[in-house]
Amino acid sequence: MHTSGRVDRHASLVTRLALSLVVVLVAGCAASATPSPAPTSAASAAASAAASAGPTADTTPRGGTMTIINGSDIKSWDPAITSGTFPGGPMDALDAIYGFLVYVDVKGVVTGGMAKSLSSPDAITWTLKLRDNMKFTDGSAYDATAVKFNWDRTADVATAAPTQTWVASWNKGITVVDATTLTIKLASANSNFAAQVAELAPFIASPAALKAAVQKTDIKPVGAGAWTLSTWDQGVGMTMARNPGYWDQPRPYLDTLKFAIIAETNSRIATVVQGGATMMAGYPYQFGTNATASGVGTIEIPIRGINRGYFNQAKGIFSDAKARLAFYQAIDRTKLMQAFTQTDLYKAPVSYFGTTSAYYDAASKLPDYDQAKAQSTIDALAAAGKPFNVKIVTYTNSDLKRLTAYIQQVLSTYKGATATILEVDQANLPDQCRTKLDFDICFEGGVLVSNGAEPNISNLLRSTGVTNWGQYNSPAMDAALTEASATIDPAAIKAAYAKVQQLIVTDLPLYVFGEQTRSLLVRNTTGGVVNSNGGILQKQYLYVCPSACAK
Amino acid sequence: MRSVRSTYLRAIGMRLLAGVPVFFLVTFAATALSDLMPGSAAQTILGDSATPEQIALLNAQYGYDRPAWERYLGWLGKLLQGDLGKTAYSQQSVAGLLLNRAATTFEIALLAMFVALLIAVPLALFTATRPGGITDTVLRAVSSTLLSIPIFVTVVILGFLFAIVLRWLPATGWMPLAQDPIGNLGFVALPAMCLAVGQTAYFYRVSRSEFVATLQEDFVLVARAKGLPASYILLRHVLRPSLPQVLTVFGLSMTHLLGGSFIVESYFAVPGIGWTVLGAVKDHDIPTVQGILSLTVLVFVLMFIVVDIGYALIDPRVEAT
Repeated sequence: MHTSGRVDRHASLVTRLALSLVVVLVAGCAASATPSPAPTSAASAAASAAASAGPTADTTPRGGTMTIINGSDIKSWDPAITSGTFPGGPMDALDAIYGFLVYVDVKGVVTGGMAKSLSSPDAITWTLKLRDNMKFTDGSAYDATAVKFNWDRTADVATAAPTQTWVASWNKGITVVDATTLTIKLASANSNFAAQVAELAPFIASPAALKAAVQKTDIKPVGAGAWTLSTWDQGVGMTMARNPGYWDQPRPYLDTLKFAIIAETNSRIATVVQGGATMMAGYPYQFGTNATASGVGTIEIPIRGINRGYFNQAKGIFSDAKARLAFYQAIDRTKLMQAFTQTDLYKAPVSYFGTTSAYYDAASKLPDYDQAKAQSTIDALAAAGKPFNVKIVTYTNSDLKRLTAYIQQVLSTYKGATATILEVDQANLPDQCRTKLDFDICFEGGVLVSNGAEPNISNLLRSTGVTNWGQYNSPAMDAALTEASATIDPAAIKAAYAKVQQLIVTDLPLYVFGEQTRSLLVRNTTGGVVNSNGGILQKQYLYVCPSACAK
Repeated sequence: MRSVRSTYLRAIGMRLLAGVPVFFLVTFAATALSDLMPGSAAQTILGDSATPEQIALLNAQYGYDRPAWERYLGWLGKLLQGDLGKTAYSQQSVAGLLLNRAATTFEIALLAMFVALLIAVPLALFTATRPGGITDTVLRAVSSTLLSIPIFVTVVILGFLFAIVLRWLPATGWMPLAQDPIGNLGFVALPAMCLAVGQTAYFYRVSRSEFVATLQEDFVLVARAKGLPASYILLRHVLRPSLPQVLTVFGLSMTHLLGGSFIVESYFAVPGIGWTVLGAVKDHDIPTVQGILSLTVLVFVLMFIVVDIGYALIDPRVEAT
């Protein structure tokens, strides 16, 4: 199994290198969304080929049902509520109903979805081109006016959309040119705007349905996506039927798409292994030997994510950059990942960006494990009246328990260093860390996937970033991030991100301890896997293979 | 005859009345305690990236910022009109949801109880006639072992064995009985089996002790002296007088099974009331929590009424009061 894992990683490495070259070449053109689907695996190649060949030549198998297992249910059909485009998350259901206006494919290219394109010649004025004659399932027109209505609604404070501030920063610049064209004039250049729309404001619902709802939870799911809702049993699952009016016929290929909600990871795995569902998203270390069970396959989602902890830079020991450096040097991050995942599949990341990223700068490396230097720094801090007492905060979870216990154990081996652990309820973590700042280092579970740099890097590292829990505040970082966004010149973007990486390894605002990609555990007859953004599936491409097609 | 009926009716009425304060206490506590839980319904809807201001705004829009007593009175007012409200997110009728989910839980619990009784009582009758024998010793050891295994271990072991290794039964999910009775059997088997394991051991030990004690009663000696067949003595003279104790255990076990259903339903993703209330509490879906608690109070009160009335029916010496 380990041998096979190494082969897969090697293959993945080669693929990523190739993809990076493609990204650099593509980035040479003006920032734009292109209308081509992106296969992520052999299983999806057929779907892609069929998609590009046109409806008459499409021999992709039709019909059938697939069941996707997610860990949690959605709470409303409000298209303004977005919560991360990882696979297996609540946005899966919203995407099925509304469809992405544009999405970022696995090569990092913004691609047309419900819209033909979202492009700009100068990163300031963006043009959204919609497809002709699209209709919502209530019969109303899916046009530029509907898009403007949705974005204006998101920008309205009363909607309480988490992305309100961002959308409100540009919605005043929207102009409806004609039924299928809309322009957005930004206050300043932003080459990442299309990617940010794909992540933060991608869903458009029928204005009539939105106007008819008094509360968020009253909103009926009326979109123009590939599916229509048949039934929804809260906390149990939902059933969707193919939308016969979907613009991209003959897709969706399936007749029925189901979502089942199973909170327990082992139960999700057992259900797929046994054939009770088609797929679930997770990590290879979670699948174990189930990944090789009869009738089961795995598909790697080639979008890298990082495991991270937030250093509190507003107060406490980690407000001193030397303490953050000592923390990096004190712990072998490869061994930490072993403790966290209980496998030896992972090595410590050397950079915020993966080594195959187009933005990777080999000159900026995260600090290596070095016990002697760590002890020396800890001693120096103690001599300066800053004892190395670390309060670790995380939420109650068995993986995180192992992670924090390992850190506590390792730190206790250093003279003058101690660590205490506070576990809180998952729902309380943002309050404990982001709002109260009551931590020295705060660990969130899961992997923060980033398909391209933005919007994650700004959210994490800008002084105003929404996930900048550690209150990192660096004018130089803000300037470098702005510089990266303000240009469409690939060389200038790379140079700006080189500055960002230099600042990351100097300031150490985050504790980046792991890098992982998610995988899908699937029945081996699963075809048409096309990932986008943070890994979310473009489910219109899914089809049931007549025989095993996923390894 | 009429006086007997009125005695029963009075007894039932008294027990129902006794349930009323419990009902108010439990349902009000559900409303009040929800304020002490981490997060809020608004936070659940908006997600982790929402600002405190947005959460406060949505809480105000939904009325979640009103005092607990005010929200409780609002809920009670609707209840008096026969309206249990709607689920917080999918806007399903709570009453409809409860009927659906309760049917699932009770099917599993009753099947587990039936299986447990079917296995435990005959075995207890058999070993009670030969106390201290090899079979008795072995079964007592086995039942002690089974009783010591917590339900969260049982679900993992049986789930792994029957769903993963043997692949005989579905690992998760549910098929309603009305929709597909045969398919339903497959889905109900594993959860019922998990609940039945501990119950069988419990019933076995209680029944065996009771049967052994009854077998030493004078009337059994008389029956034996008369030369009545052993099977007749066991069924007629031992089983019936022992039933009140078994019935008490049955009533307590039903409450235990409802408690156990939280774990079983969560592990096997069975949409019963245990699974539903866990999700509802986590998601701050208070209308659903209120509905489930109301149902639970009602079921418990009815259960104890059935047990008490059952005593009187089985044993004429017991009066319904």
